[in-house]
Amino acid sequence: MTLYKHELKLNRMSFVIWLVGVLAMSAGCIFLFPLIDESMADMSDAFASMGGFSAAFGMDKLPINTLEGFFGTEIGTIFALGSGMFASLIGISALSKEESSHTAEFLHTLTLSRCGIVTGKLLGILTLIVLFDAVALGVFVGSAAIIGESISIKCLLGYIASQFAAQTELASICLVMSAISKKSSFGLGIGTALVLYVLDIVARITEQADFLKYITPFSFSNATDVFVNKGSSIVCAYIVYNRRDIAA
Amino acid sequence: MNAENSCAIAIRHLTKTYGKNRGINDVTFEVTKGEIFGFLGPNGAGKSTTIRCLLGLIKPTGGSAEVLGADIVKEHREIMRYIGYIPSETMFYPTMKVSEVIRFAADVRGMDCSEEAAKLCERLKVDTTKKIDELSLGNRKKVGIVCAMQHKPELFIFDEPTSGLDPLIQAEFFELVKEYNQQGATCFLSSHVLSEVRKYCHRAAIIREGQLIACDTIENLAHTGAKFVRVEGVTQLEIEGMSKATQKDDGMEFVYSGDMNLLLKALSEKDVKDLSIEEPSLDDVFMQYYG
Repeated sequence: MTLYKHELKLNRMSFVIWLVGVLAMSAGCIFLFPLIDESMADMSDAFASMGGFSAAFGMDKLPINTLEGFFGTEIGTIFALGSGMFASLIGISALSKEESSHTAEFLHTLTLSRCGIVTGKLLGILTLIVLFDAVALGVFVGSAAIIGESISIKCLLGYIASQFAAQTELASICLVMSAISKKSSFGLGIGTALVLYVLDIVARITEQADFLKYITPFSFSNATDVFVNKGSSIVCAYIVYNRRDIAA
Repeated sequence: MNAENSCAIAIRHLTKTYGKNRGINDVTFEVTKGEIFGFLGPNGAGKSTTIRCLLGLIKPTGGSAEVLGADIVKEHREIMRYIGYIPSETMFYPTMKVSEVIRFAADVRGMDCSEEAAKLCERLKVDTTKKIDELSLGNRKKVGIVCAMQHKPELFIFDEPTSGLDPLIQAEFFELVKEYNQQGATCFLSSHVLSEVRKYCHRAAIIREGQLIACDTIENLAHTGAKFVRVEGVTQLEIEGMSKATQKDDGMEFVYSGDMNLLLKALSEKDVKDLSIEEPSLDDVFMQYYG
């Protein structure tokens, strides 16, 4: 419990910066919607008939001139990428930052087992992701109310739930990398989120790359696959971290 | 922990290799409960590798070790409850305050150490209101000492604890070590500062290039049978048992570990103006081992 609280404390600044950054962009887009919805009406049909490009961003399924359509295609992309990068960053730095900042000796010579350290860090990551999504939900609903538009709470909850699943999977993939690496690599965390996002777009554009949706957490065609991937990543993190030498 | 076991640390054939690189090889020695034990060696000799194995930070590739009667690999978490450790380079979370770090270390142990921590901070002159990233190397070390001592452990493991500390704080640190030792604590101290080992330790082990080359009381280590010989009027002498010979303007100095009669016979044939034969200092002995 002490390590869990400690982890939340250490990540609070990063959490606030990413939360404000991502949600400011998302809310900004919602506030822009009343200014562009009329011009969007003319472009909606055009956007919906651009073949693979439309499919890549989901514009073939939702009309872009409604707030829900605009949210699903534009704001959803910003939030998915932003929150995904945040989840990757806190995952990739969770264990490796202790070695790269030379605090590992201090932490590991207290009365914590390595499993206890991974668990404390993991719970901290999950809490930050839940808080991130909870605040985002409030900001989305509030912003829509401010511009006088309604947005389906049920759809929004479904969207946030799928994002939570994607973020936790990204964080768990990055946690394994963090358990292996002795250096905290922010580039690797951001890169992982971006590469997996691009794989999702490729999977949506062409049927030949359909198998990619089973690799990237941004595609949630099969919830069971996602659950299995996440579980195995976390188990890997425990096994790897338990076995390897800790750098001074 | 095991109260019947008289060994605080028992290392048996401990080996650690890093791929093809040497770490430590077949190291065996014991530290008895209640003693202050020095662990000497030059930089890169394997002192920190041995300590990091004992603390479970790295896994040994061979051999075994017990700390307070418990296996270092299987019972790592239990062992750490009874150990206070100061690493050679003390690092903490830079955004935290000193008081937060000290409290965090106690909280993880599930203990309220506030009284002992306050006493230690006062004696070591630790400013608990400062942030860690505002501290110098020496001040970070002092925070490390407080974190290692506040829970009054049974065994202290110190890896070059005085590096970065000013002489006054060094003296206060050893005063604290002696006080805890008198209360029954054992201290395992790695160092390459010979004077502090000679002054404070009961026994010592010497490690060189990953291998243990001596382990004995300080007195016995200093009395190796070798003598430090200084002779004036003689600039050339070669007999069996001579080592570390250095030429001086009016004579020569050397360490002699052979038959004393042979030395006296050889010198009697020379024009000796002055002669002194002394016990070598501990420093000379260590230099002999290191060389």
